[in-house]
Amino acid sequence: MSSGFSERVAHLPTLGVGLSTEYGASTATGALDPAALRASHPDFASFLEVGVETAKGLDADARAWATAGWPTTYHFLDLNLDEPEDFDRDWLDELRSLCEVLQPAWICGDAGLWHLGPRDRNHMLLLPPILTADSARELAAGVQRLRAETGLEVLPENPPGSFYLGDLHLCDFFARVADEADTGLLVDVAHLAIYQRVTGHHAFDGLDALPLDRIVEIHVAGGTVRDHAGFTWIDDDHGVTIHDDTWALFLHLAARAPNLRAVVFECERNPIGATLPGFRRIREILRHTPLGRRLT
Amino acid sequence: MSQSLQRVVVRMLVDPAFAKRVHSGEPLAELSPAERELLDAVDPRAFRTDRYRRSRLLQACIEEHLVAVAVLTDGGRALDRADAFFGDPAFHRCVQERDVLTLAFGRWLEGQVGPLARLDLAVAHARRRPLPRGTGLTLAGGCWPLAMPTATLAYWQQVRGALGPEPLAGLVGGTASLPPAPAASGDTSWCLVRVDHAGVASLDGSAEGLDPLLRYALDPRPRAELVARFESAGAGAELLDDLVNDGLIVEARPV
Repeated sequence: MSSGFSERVAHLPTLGVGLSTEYGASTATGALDPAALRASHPDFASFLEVGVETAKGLDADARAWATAGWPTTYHFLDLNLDEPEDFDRDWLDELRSLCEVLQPAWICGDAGLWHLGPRDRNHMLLLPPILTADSARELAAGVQRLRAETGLEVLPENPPGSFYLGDLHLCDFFARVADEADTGLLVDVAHLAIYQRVTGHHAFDGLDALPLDRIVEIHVAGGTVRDHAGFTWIDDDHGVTIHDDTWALFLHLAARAPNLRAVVFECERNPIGATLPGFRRIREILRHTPLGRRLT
Repeated sequence: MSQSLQRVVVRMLVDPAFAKRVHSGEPLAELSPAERELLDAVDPRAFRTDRYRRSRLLQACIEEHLVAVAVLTDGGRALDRADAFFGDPAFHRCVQERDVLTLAFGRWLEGQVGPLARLDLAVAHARRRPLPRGTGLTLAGGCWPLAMPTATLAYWQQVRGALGPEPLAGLVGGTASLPPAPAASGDTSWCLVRVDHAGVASLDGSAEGLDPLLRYALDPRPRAELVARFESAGAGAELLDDLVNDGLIVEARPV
C-alpha cells in the first residue's frame, strides 16, 4: 500500500457496469432486484455497489450477492471523511467485518457531511464539503486514513447539494483531494451536473482541472428539477430520467478516463423494465471508451 | 474552518431565524469574515429546499421523550413548544459542539418540565452507551443511573399509560389527555435503567448511596480506585464484588 496511485490502480479489477443498493432498497414495491437483473442482463449487473450504514449492516440481498461470490464495491453512508472523530474504533471494526463479508474491490462514498454531530440514529443528512483548500486537505487526510485502516482503495465521490460553499470549483477541489491523498476518484456525473447548474456554470466549465487518470468509477443517475420560491435545483432522486447534461458529462469523461474501471447506474428503487434503457445507453456509450475496450 | 462552518450551515438549515440573522450581516462570534463571505455568496432560498427537515428532527426527538413532550405540549395541542428547541441556544450549542441531538433535547426538556424528563433522558443515555473501552471496571453497557422524585416517577408512568399504544400519533394529533400532575414531594427514587440488545428498557430499583458510586463507574476505573471510592462512601469491597457478580460492574473493553 506504500506504492503510488499510478501503480496501485493497475491492480484494481475492471468491474464494468453495475448497480447500487442500500439496506432495504429492494423491498419497496416495484424496486429493482439485483440478482434478477444479473440473471436477465448480466452485462448490466457485473457488480453490486452496496451502500452501507454499519448500524444497519447488510440486508438479505447484499448478503446473498456476496455469498454467491459476485463482485462488489462498498459505498459508505455514514462517514464524515474530514472529521477525525468519526474514525472511531467501533465503527472501523464494523467496517472491517462487513468488508470481510462483501470482499469489495474498493471503498467509495460521498465526501461530504453524512451526519450532524456524532454517528447517531436520526443525525443523517448529506451536505457537500466546503470547497476550500483547507477542506480539501482535511478530506485528503481522511481518505489516506481510511485506506490505511482497511488496506483498500478509497474513492471519494462528489456529493449532491442544493448549494455549495467555497471559493474553489468542485473539479479543482477534487483534483486537490486526489493529489494530496494520492487517490483515485469516483465522479458522479449527475451530482456534477447538479453542481454546475446550481452554481450557474455550463456543464463543462472547470472540467479541465479534473485529473482524468484518477477517475476509477463513474455514477450515472436521474434527478428531478424542483422549485422553492423561484429557486430551482435538481433533486438527486435516482430516477430513470437522466438529464442531458449528465449524459454529456458521462460521454465526455468516460471517453477520456484511462483508468476507469466501473460505472454504476444508480436506479435502485425502480422496476427492472424502467431501468433497461438507461443501462443500454451506458453500455453503448462505453463501447468507444478505454473501459469499453477492456470489457470486450 | 470547514467543520465549524459546516455546523453553522446545519444550524441554518434547521433554524430559519438563525439563517436570517446570518444573512442579515449581524455580527456572530462563530463566523469569521471569510466564512461570512462564503455564506453570503449563496442564495438564501437554497437553505430552505427541504421543508420537512426540521419536522423529521422534531419527530425523532419526540419519539425518545414522549412523556415530557406530552406534558410540555399539553398532550400535543401545542407542539410548537417542543419545536421551540430548534431556536434555542441548547440546539445551536449541540450542533456546534458535536453533541447528540436527542440528549440535548432531553436536557432542554428538563429545563422546561423539570425532573419528569429524566427517565426518558436516562433511557436515551443507556441506549447510546456501549460497554466503554478502557482499563479496569465500569458500569455495564446499556445501563444508566437515574434519580427522580418518587411522585414524579409515578406520574411519568401515569402519563405514559395515558398516551396509549400509539403515543406519537396521539401527540401529533393533539388528542392525548393527561392525568393531573401530582403535588411536589421530597422523596427520591433511585433506579438503574437498563436497555437490552433489542432496545427494550427496564427499570430496577437502586439505593441512594449506590447512585454516586454507579455514576463514578460510568468511566472505567482500576479496581483499587473503585474500592477506595466505595469505602469512602461507607460501602466496602464486598458491595463492589456483589455488583460484579450481578453483572452490573464489568471489565471494560480493551482500548
